[in-house]
Amino acid sequence: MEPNHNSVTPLQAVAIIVNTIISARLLILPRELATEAGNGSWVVLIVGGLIMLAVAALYTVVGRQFPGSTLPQYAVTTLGVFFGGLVSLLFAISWLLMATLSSRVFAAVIITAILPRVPLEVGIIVMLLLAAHLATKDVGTVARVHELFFPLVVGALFLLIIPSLVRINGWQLLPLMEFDGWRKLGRGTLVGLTSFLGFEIVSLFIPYYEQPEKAGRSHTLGLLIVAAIFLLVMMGCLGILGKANLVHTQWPTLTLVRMISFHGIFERLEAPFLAVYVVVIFTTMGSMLFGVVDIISDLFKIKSRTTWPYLLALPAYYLAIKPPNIVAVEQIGIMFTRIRFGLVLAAPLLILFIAYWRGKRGDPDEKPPKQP
Amino acid sequence: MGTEFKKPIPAGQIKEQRLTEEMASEQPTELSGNFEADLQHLRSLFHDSSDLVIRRFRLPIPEDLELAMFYIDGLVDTRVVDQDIMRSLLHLSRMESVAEKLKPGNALDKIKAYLLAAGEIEASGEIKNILHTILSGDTVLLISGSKEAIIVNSRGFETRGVQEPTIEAVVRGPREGFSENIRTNTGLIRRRIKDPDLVVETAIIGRRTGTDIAFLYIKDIANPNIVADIKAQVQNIEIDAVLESGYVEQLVKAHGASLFPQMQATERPDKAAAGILEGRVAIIVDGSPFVLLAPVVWIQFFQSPEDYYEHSWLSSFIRLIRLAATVFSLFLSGIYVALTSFHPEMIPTTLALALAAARTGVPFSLLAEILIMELLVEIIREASVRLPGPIGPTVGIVGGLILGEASVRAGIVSPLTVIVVAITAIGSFATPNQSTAISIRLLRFPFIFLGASFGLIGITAGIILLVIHLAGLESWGIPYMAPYAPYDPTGQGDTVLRRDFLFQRTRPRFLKPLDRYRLPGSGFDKEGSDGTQS
Repeated sequence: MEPNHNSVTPLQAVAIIVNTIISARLLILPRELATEAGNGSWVVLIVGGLIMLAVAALYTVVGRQFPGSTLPQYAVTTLGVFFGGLVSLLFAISWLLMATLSSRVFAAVIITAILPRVPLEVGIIVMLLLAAHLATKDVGTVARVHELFFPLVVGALFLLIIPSLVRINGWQLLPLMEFDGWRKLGRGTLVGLTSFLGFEIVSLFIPYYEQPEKAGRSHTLGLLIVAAIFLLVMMGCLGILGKANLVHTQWPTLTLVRMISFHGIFERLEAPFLAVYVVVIFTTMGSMLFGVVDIISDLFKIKSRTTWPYLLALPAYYLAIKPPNIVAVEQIGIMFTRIRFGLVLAAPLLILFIAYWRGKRGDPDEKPPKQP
Repeated sequence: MGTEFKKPIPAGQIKEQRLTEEMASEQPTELSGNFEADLQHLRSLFHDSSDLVIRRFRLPIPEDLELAMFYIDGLVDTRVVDQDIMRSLLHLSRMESVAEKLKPGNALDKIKAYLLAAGEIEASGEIKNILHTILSGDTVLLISGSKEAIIVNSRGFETRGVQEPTIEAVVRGPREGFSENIRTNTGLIRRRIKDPDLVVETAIIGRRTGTDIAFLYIKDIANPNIVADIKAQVQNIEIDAVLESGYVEQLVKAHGASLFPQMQATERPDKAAAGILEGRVAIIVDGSPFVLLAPVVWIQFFQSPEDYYEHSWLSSFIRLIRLAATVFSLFLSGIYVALTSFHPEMIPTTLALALAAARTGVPFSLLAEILIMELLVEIIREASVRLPGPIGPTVGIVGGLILGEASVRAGIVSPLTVIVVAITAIGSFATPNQSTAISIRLLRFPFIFLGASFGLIGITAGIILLVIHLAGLESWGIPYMAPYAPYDPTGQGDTVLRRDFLFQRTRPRFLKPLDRYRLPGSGFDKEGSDGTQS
């Protein structure tokens, strides 16, 4: 088979999943988890990860059911133009909001931690424009960008977090489990679950897979890598800070990094960590905005995507500066991710059900849609 | 991407247009067969230029046969014209055995068959072709009563011989470099690849310069689609002048806005041969010692032919050093500005104090300071290239040492700035490819500004933009960042690290070669390749 330069290799699929899921949320995730589940955080992470693996499998199944179609395309085929379009637009809106929140959280982190003289607005707009720039590119380019940044994202996170693990106090991790009632456990699991959100972006890439039969394997591997990183960070934060401190730390992951220093070369690693973290945030936001652009251009039959995606930065910027402070951003974020999880879970189920009911299937020989 | 560039008008359209113009002006396109008329017509086409030599003579036997010889003085080897054409014509025609056969009706064939002692002979009646060959240094024989003229290859103009390449110098490796003559250059490659499957195809581009171009590739390695694509694009160039291979490189550039080279220019035959053997196409432009290789990937601009002549561990080490030098020259000044202005806490305390002490008394901001020094280095570099040979290095030393030392003493810049700028300058010399080195020199400045305005975050943002740009580039359908993105295990043997030849059994897959195997044993069959396509 002739490798098409606008196709997505299995490794690129893994890169897309990992880069997209790991986002600004990782900076606050340990606190969120510790608040809800305490020392049992690792359990809810694993449970959440397992449930998400099932949801990911759902997307793989839907994607293979409609080979050659992306999410908005099969949503429209099965649900009709109005409802299909509505579902797709909901996805687009959720991704736009996700990018917006990421930019706001990250700008706040940068300004607090390393660039106190830069205005918040500049941080936000720079991140948004960078992401919008990626959104103007075609599928092949986006996949290659993810692939090129993949070793940096994973490598940097492992390299910066593993040295801090030597400071773990074993007793901080005890008791290994905590059970505070079903309600608390359920909320903890929800946090664990929603931390894996973002992988639904693969629904736009599945038709371009070079080896569609390996889709499931790539998706599973991607989620496992993410879970490993989350677990490491979680255990590091818990073991070093302890539950009592952790729930009161604004950005525990950053605190973890703050403890590392290579004497004689680098005194503190916050700045390089955040510099690398720009890439982490960028890959998430880039994926999200690419998804928004892909859905909009698909629904409204826009051929060219060279200029208008930059305009997306305007509403995103407006939404990003709207919340008065970072606490409000977090509250909105928690609420929003729950709704988003509902959407991510419900949409493929609905589409599969309706497709089965109406007996609709994609043409198995359909070629991937042409990219502009 | 996205930016639209003015595409030259398709060649077919222009040719048609020119054809209709020619018809309108009623210029004959073929020789008429009328000796005097043809002679006058050819003469008039050259506007009586003084270097056009027209020699009329007659062969006495059996009846007077009138001939005229055309050549351009200075382009021909006069020995060939005198000995092999004139002398053999006049002498041999007196031999009876020949003279009997020679009649006005069959003069052309008989002269071709019996009377010329030159190697390469061709008959043509097309005036355009005749003009081109005369202007290329061939000698044209016009024979009375014949509708065709004989073209004899007598090219013998002065050319620079095969000399040592100057830009791409190596410590170990052949000392031969391409010269300006297209035939010398194809010969240099042929001598390295004695394979009948090595194809040399020629074309002529440039409306006025009529520049000869040769495409070299190995028929059963290079992907036919890519070859056809490259040939079509180069032949479709419609410009009046092609004076150097750089013209071709820029005119077929798919991503015009990109600063990164999309063809590799090399003056080393061994490098060109290696590229051809990997499945690339070499484009030789007459008059240029730089041969173009296409398609390209980013990593190959950091590879030097020397890497293949040393042990793989040694060359891998040197490649790492080279890449580090490139990274330094691109980012170091930007990172220096970022660290000192925004993130002093990252620097070890003693160094930070030393830095602060060195900067006391410097009147400029760090950004201004580093810009002044970078500009100075660029000026010195450009000046030392323009200056005649022996003075160049002297200026470099004077400029670098004296100016640096003096400006530190005068308190205009701090010593650390001089060190940083010197490292970036030296680093950019380590890149083997000239075009890449220049684009990195240029890209350094945006990174300085980004570092000065947003610190390390700005530098990362710049890197992100750079990566998006590089990931979006393609060279004839091959992603520029291959074999990294898309990751290609078969191409990993020869990237930043070079593996031993024995471990590089296959050619890099990303070039889609027809014949994938370099070494026997892993399946020598050409059918087993999956680079084959319809």
